[in-house]
Amino acid sequence: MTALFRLLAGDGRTLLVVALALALAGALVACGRGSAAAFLFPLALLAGVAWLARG
Amino acid sequence: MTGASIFLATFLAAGVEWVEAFTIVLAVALSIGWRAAGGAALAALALLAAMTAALGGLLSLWLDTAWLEAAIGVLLLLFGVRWLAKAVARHAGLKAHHDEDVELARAERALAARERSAAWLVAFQGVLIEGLEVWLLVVALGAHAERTLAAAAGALAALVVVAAAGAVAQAPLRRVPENAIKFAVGAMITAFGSFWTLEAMGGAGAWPWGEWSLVVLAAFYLLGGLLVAAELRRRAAMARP
Repeated sequence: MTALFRLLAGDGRTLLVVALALALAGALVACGRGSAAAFLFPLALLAGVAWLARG
Repeated sequence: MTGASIFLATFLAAGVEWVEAFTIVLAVALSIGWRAAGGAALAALALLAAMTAALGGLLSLWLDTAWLEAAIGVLLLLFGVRWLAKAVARHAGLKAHHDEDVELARAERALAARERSAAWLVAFQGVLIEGLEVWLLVVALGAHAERTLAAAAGALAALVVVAAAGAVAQAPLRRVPENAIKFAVGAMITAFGSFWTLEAMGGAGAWPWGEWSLVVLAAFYLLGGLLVAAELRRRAAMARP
């Protein structure tokens, strides 16, 4: 079960990256700035990928 | 377009996992023979197929579309971001590449002292563990877009190709460009994940180019990942004395 959970959720750093990117996108959508979310959400995820890759 | 891209994503993702599973089965086959090792692999694949049918059915019954879209989108983001980050780190030289010869040697060492039934279990577990990610991707990509058939066909096609190549080579499939495939798959899965999560939050008009945004997103993650890898490689080279 632990292995399955780790497979689903990943490590804490991946969870943090995805949670922060989702929080940013959610906040932008909630303020009626959905078009900004369509650009900033992928950028936030890519920045997270860069941070994760650095180790 | 979505059906073809789902097929391609699962084909590539499953291909990488099946190559790793084949190395384990090969090590077991060298120990207890192809018949027993192949039987263990088939038993694991049958279990994975049953799990795919069961979870796919449950997801379509229990969740309405918006929740399904959000839940699957987040799951795909967790997968895709992890795959992409690992591929970027390997491309930048910050992480060792997966080496099938090393994996085969490790598996053979681990099997040397084991009995026949334990070796059978190693092959079964190896295929099951490598197949779990394939299972989740097939269910996640297939359930939302109602393209389970395309997703499952992609995974099965990859299995046939890897099994055929393995049967011919009778050696680890070391010429498969694993990291390049993982790079592409990470970009595609992250594209699907970001597309569906934002659509779940902001409605059908969340993306400016509709379904074509998927292609733009995948290209963005792929090219962006390559740029990030180049920058990380440059910084690592500068940091060396």
